[in-house]
Amino acid sequence: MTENIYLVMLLLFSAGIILPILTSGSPKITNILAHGLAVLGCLAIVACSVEVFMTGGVTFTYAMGLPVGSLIIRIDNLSAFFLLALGVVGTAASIYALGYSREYYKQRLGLMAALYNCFILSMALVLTVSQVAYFLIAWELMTVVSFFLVNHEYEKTANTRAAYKYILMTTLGTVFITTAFLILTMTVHSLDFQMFKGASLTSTMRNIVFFCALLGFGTKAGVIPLHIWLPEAHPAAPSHVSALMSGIMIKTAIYGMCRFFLEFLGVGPAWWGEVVLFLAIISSVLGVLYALMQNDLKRLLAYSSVENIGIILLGIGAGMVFMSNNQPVLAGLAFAAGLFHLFNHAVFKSLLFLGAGSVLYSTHTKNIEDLGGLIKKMPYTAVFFLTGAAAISALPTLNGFVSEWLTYQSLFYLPQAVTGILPRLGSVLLIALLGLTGALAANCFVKAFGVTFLAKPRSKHAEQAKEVPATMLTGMGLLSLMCFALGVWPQGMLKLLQGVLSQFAGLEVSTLFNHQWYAAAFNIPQANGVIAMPVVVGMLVLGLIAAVLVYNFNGKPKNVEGETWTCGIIPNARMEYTATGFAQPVRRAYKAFLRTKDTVTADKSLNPYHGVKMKMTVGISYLIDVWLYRPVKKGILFLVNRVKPLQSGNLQHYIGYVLLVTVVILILGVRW
Amino acid sequence: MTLLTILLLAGAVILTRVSSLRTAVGILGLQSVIVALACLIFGLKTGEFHMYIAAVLTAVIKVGLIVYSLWRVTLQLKHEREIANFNVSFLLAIVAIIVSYGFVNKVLPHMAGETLGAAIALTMIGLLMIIARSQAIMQVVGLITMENGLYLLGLSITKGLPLIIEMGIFFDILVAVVVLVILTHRLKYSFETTDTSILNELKG
Repeated sequence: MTENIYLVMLLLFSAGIILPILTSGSPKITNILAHGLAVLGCLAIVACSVEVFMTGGVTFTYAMGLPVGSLIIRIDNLSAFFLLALGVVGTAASIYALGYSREYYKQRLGLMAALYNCFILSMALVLTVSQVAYFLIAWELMTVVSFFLVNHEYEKTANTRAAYKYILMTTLGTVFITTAFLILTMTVHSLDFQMFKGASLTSTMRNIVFFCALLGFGTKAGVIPLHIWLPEAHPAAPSHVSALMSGIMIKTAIYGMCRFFLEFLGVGPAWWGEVVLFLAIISSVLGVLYALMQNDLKRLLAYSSVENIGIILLGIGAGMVFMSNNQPVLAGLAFAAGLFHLFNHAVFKSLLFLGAGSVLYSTHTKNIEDLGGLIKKMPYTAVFFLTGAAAISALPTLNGFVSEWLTYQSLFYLPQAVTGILPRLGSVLLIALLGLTGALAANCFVKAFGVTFLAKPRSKHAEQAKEVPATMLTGMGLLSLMCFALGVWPQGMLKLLQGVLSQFAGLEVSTLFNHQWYAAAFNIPQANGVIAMPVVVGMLVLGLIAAVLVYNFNGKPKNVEGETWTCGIIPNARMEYTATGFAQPVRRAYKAFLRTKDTVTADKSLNPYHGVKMKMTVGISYLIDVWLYRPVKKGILFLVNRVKPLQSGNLQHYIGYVLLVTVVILILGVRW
Repeated sequence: MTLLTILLLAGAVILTRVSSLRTAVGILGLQSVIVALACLIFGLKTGEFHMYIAAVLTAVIKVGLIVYSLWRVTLQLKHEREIANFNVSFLLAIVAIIVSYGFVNKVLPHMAGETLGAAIALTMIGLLMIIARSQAIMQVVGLITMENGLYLLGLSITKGLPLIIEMGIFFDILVAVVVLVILTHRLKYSFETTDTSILNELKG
């Protein structure tokens, strides 16, 4: 049954790849065909994963012969969990794309739609293929297709630059991933993932595999310091693609890490987990700080993805520490927290990207300094964006709260698990820093929502905004519902996670969520009087009703005469709080990390003493760029310039090189 | 057979010291005659019929067509001479012979003393000619020397390649030479010289 659904899924996406190219004459037909097929395909993915959760994992093998051997598709609970996220987000994004693609009717729509289908298909393959060679092929396919999607609007130089940065970084990552796989393959003499379980590696080799997997998948996940492609590439892609890239594609890297850390490598030394935790906390804090500094809506969301990947990895890193300390229950809790946050982030980040896409669709600008007042023009979009923003800020009754709360809980037990004064101090700091991250994230999304949607329009673009088409609203609405559903009733997802994690050795999840309240309240006897989220929701609803009653009781608003405000001028958009201004206190406070470069110049041409016009430029520099990437870039350029004379332009020299190399190889070959 | 091998190598070494284009083409013709003879001798020795065909083909294409077309071109290039450091290429040719015989000795000891070493040396000398000469004609000569070396290699290892492969190689080389001759004409026409070192102007 699962196999049939899987094949139908493959068929749907294949049709979705081919048909848009054939129907290039009429963009409307292309749009409906391609994205309709994508919706169906994503529903098939959901069905596939539900089927696996109901009936258990499946493996099917297709003999493909040389050169890379038989294709093994294995869908276990872990794959199914990721497939579920892909299916849900993919469905919403595809419905959204039905409307959003109108922007691209004159911009190679057929190509984009085909690539979009191919993109979802490649992600589904990455999550299900269980054989090294095909996994790497699918992985690279995903990279290449997303490269073309990022580069879709190649008329803008910035997009092309972003795309090339992206392909450069991810290729680097693939080198590491391939190395990790090759070491495992050489040890067990098999390409099948199943054989890697408990491969007998020496501890040095295990460490090398661990680092290769961490760096390789970390690049794709956008872990700082390997994140530099992410804030460039995600904004450059069309918005529904950005939603998938941020929502799912970077999560496939987490899938790879789970496979390696939970399955292939098994329980490792504690310092593995500590390394992951270290990278995770750096990603979260710096990611959110940088996010807060951005004025480009999609760029802001991209940096926020870096932050959330950090939070997911906090769960996973803590789980690894607990595993090596032989604390399976805590390890289960930490991994469950990480994976839950992963799912939640997939939902609300795609929702936010779709929201940003809607803003872009109706105003044609991503710069939030030019927006404002959109809540009156686009009320539904505003509500959906607000839902996403509240969810990502981890406000209760929304899903972000549940997973962050679980992450906190697992981190609270971390100081007990580690030994030594420094790691203990570090693990306490971790909690504090996560708190800081949460606060900054809330600040960041107050800025994103407030400046974009509230107050008065700051430009013509914002004034002329209109509500987006119904298909786009449907896509966002689905994800908003998901945010509420997972926040109010997370038990279902927790049950799924129990199923996902119970298959791994070193984790014990069967008793984890037995309590009513999804807090894993250890040492507290079976909870009496715990409040469940539905109760909270009920109270909130009661409060709202009371508020409405009180409002009505007070009667209609009346005009009150008062003092003049703004000296009698009607307040205009220039008096509003700007995005830069809103972020200013944080800029000041974290000057040391952000390396702020603010300059104020007075134009003294009209008045030689103090000037009449003042101009302020603000900027930050990115520490990672300055410390890591620039020296590397300089080094590479230096080397390249040394090698350049070899390229003389003389054909005979080139033939000479060939001869030289041949002779040297001959000599080396016979070991003279 | 040994005598033919020695003659071939001697011809190749002399080629590295020749500056007149017409002499070079003449020596090339002689070499091709030797290869055809070697082919014939092999045919007599083994009694394989297709060796005779190969010998005839060698004679017709390498001795006849190729040499004739090159000769025609050189007649037009009266004022062209090869200017290069002959001593260095001569020395390099000697080194190539030593290296290839040493290589054969080391890797395939039972084949040592046969034509295999000479074949490899011939190939390397041909490549050296291509690298070290700037006259287009001399480079073509180098290419055909290489081809002769490869042909000899086939003869010495396998007692003759299958006919179909030999035919393929023949037509390949024929087409290459025809193209090169045409290019040489164009060079003469466009640049007033067939010295390829001025082609560096094309470098971007």
